[in-house]
Amino acid sequence: MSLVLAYLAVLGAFAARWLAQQHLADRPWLTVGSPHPLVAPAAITAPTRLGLGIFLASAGLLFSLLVAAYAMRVPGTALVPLDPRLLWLTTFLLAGASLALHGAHAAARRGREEQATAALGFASAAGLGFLGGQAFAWQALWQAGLVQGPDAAVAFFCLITALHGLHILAGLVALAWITARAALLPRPPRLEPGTALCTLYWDALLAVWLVLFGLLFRTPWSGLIDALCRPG
Amino acid sequence: MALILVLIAVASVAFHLLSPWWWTPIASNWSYIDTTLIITFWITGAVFVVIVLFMAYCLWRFRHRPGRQAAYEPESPRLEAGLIAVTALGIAAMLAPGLVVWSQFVRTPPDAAEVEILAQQWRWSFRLPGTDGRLGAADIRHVGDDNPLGLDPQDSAGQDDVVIDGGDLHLALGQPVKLLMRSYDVVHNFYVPEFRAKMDIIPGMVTQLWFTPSRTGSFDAICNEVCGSSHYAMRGRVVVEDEPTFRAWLDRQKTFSQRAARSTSTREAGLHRPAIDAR
Amino acid sequence: MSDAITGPQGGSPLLPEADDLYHPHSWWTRYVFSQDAKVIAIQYAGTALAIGFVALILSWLIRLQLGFPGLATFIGPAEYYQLITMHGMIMVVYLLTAVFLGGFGNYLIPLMLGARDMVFPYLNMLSYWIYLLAVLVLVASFFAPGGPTGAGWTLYPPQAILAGTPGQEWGIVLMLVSLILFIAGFTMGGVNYVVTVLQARAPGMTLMRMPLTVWGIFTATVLALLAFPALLVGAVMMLLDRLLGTSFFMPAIIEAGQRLRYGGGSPILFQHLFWFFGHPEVYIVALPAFGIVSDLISTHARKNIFGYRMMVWAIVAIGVLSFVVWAHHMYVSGMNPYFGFFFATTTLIIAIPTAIKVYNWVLTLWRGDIHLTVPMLFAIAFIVTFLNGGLTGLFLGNVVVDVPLSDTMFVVAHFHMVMGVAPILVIFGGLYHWYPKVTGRMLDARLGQVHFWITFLGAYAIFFPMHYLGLLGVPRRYYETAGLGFVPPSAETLNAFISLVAFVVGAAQIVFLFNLLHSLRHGAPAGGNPWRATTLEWQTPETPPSHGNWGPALPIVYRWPYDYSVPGAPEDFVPQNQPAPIRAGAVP
Repeated sequence: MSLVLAYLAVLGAFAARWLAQQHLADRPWLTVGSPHPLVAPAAITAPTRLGLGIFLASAGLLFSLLVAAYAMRVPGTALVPLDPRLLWLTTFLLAGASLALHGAHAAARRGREEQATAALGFASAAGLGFLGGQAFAWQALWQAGLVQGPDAAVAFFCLITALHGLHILAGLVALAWITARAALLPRPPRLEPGTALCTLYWDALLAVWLVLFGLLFRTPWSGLIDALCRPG
Repeated sequence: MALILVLIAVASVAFHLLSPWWWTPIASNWSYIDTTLIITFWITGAVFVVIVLFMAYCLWRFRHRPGRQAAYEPESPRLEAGLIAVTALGIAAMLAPGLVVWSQFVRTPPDAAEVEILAQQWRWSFRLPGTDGRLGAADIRHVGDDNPLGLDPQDSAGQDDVVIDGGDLHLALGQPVKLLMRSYDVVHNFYVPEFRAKMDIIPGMVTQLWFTPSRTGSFDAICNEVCGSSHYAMRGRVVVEDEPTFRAWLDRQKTFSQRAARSTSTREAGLHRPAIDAR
Repeated sequence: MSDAITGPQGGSPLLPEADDLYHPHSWWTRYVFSQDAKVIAIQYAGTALAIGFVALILSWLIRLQLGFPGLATFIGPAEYYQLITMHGMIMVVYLLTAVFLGGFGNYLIPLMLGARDMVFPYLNMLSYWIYLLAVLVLVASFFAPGGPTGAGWTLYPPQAILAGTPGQEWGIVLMLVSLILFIAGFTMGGVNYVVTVLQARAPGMTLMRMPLTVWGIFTATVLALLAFPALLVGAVMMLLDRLLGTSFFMPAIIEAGQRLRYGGGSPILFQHLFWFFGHPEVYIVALPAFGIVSDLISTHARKNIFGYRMMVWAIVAIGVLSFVVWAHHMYVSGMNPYFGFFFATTTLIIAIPTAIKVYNWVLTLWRGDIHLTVPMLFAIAFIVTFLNGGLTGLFLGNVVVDVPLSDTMFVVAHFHMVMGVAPILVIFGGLYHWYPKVTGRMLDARLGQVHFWITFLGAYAIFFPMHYLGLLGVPRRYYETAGLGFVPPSAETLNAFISLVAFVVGAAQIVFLFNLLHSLRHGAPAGGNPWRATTLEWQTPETPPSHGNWGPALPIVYRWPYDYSVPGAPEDFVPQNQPAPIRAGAVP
């Protein structure tokens, strides 16, 4: 659970920093009128972006709980009988999707809608490729009859990647929605806000995936993750 | 309302003092637990009565009457700090003895005699070490009709273990015991109200608990963690008796190897012992 | 100075003009698939109260069995365990959580903050419909083959998914699916509430000018967003264990003489996940209740809440601490016993901010002008029951005292007092208080008094003596205690008494239901601000507030929400949006 508590501590630090700016020590009964500017500060986060951030914080806790559960349940030596090269491939696809989205976002901000749409298409394709790769891995494990057995490493692999995959799937639906609107509507809305949200979402999912990948397989950064979630 | 609040405070205290429902006479060394509980009762009871009576007074004294205006006082840092300090003190007064007793609770004395409890839906079995004073290894793999506790037939330490399957558990007065508890199906909990102590029994691991019986008698042991539809009927019995009686009882029990021999002979005679199944 | 602001919108992109709002076009979108937070609030509260009534009837059946064992022949052990499981789960999750966050949260957050609506109305609507689906799936388990699950509301594996527990076939699956749906639905609502509080406050509504109700609901929502993932993980893993045969929680098991295919799993892992959710859940229910009760007391005692700052800090402190106390439910679970030291300490520390809240409620009464209206009666009854339940919590939190008491009737009495009776009294108080705003009519006060006295005194008479049964050692979740040597016959008498009172208290809720429906048409017209309260929801141009809440211009907030009985003011309350600086020695 130390990873979960560390995660909560990070969230708590954000919350504390924010609360510290909210004048919580004011005596509100002494200040009638407008003690602080009535108009909200100019550089404020868009509500959708904030909402997505809060959702991601919640989803992040979901994955850190899964990691904590994995660390409690599965011995450090247990391995999933899969070719790691497949997982490296899907990792690169996911990273590629993330990069493509950054490109799309940059293009959309500069008003190059065509270029942005193309990048979005590439990101969708890479995302689909990622899911395809994961599906291939699940199918291999399923056919080996490993999922249904008491092998915890395999079961955790399937559970964690499936939940992660569901989030990716939701992201793909959102991507498809933006792309379709841009392509089909006669007067398409601006691409920029949508791509910004998708980029944030994919970056977060990529980060989650890198942690999960490091946990489930031997990667260069596995040592760091082990140190975080298996102290002592 | 004010009157009713006073009544509630008085009635609660009266109920506490006059109630015929109180804990069972203790039969183990955990009288410290009772002491901590009593301390907690005194502190919390006092707080309850004071606050409820204060509230009753306020409700009566400051009830609405025409022309009445409430005072305007947003806060009083000194009063609040004082209240926090008093509360913290009260909390510490309860927590400190609690933690001291807990440190005894988790530290099993080295001379404690080991007794194994196996919980299954919905029955208790017990195992006591034989003359060698050690319990033999056991594992779910060895469980069979004639070996309900799953003792390892290869382990010599287990051969003289006394297996009690379906009978009462006897304990010697004044001898600290360390219960090693296992389950082969679901989570159970071994609870004898008179001993105060209890602990869950988790399948897949061994949980433990220690106490010293301090009073002879026969006590109900119950399962105290919901374990299926006959949870309420999962009962056993613990008999505490003095050392000589306990020894005599122990000598009458069959050891694991004797039971194994007997069941082999019944099998050879073509008789089948029915499968152990409480349902 | 505030007068310098001419345009109430203040130019912020987050405070939409009335035209920007979604507008319903038909009866369906106005009343059924509505995106108006007020309609969604009523839908949430109505659904929750309806399923809560089911749980009330279940509790009658439980008491029937406990008070008069053998009388109801249709309640066997299996049915009994199904009853307690469904009663517990419905009350904790589907009633209390849904009413406070979905009901009160949806209605009060936008109105109290001076917003037109939630920030994401569509998501809000979706949240309700998914909640309804979750409730329906739960109800469906009553009719599934084998009936609902009887695993206890804690759903501890392995027994929850083994054949020795009723409802193993369908009940547990439907329960887990329903919980997963509930969490999905709640997450949509929760993100919404948080963003609304953060960004859609009216001009001048600083955090320290928010009513404590909003503080309570806001903090509870944040807790829920961080606690529910743990339940989700647990539910999904158990579902896989049940359906696919994985072994997340399942060790090697022999059932009915058969060795099952499970192995290596950890039942304690589930308990950690469950209580990582379960303990914050207590505060998810309690914090909104704290907030609402603060506002009720302040309004009806015509006095500012005492120590507002301390109240806010206490709410935040409780929220933070509630994440490091979960294992106090697991002192005797076989986990590493040395955790007991840590968790007992954190648990007793959390009592300090909680005690501060109680002191401040009581000190608010001091030198007040107390109107014993029906909402006020409920608020005071809340303090008594919460105080009682909170103090018995000190027994259970103190690790060693918990050892003899855990899983006895003492625990049942404790948590019913503290998170059953107390929050439900607040729900009633809140309904009596805000019903006039929702419908424009008052609830009948005489019926309210009848309802209150029976409910309060009855509930106290049910749960106070029950502690002593627990002290005696009577275990919880026992179908019958016959044959237990340590249970004297007099305990049976006490059980019968408790059951009789429970029947009466249950029946009294029919009075409330009648009042609720009757006053809809025949209640006295309330006017806009019947309680002469300061907070913004009472200052709407129309009652009930129309869609968009505020007519053409958003309110501007000039003061904190507790300006009652201000010296020198013409009235004994000054609404939050009243500009003139009324305060002796105040800084304009």
